[in-house]
Amino acid sequence: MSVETYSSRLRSAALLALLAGVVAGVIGGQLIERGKPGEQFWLLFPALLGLWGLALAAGLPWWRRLDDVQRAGHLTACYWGGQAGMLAAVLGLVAATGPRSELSLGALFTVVGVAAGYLLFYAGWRLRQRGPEE
Amino acid sequence: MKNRLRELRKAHGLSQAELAEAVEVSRQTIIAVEADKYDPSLPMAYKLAAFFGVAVEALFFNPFVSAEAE
Repeated sequence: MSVETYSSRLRSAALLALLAGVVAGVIGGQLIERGKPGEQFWLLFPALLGLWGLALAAGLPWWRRLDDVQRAGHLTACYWGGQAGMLAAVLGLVAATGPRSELSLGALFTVVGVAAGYLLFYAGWRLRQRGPEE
Repeated sequence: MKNRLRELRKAHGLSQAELAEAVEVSRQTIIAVEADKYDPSLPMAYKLAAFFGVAVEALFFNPFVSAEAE
């Protein structure tokens, strides 16, 4: 009988999150392949959103098992690395194809989505930290 | 934050990996705290102190209190 250790539980949770992402990618790809993007926007968008929402939720056990040092590492990497990578990609696209190309506009739209998600989560975090003011 | 984690761990004959498993954190976390590269949260500091059966102040040195005051 194998003994479940913290690291093995963390690995299992990470594997579940990774698998969920792969499964969501495959199913989402099939949905896009078989559907009619653009024409069936109001069918495909909620379906894909739900699918990826489930995939994100599958990452919760992993996130909850991380200790605060590991979590700080991921948050730092996500904030600074994610932003740097995103900006490098967007600026590269703008420099290569011009600011009004479809690629650049698509990338800029993604930046808006990232900023909106960031603000929403930050607002939620601020609300959760509230306590009695004296 | 300066601490006595390495000293206490060795006194208990534990490796970094064994201590990490015992307190349910990653080995990298133990390494980072021992090397004074990361200040743990209060719950983690209490968890580590409780594991060794000492007060938090006996494990982590308060950088805001002068040596004379202690």
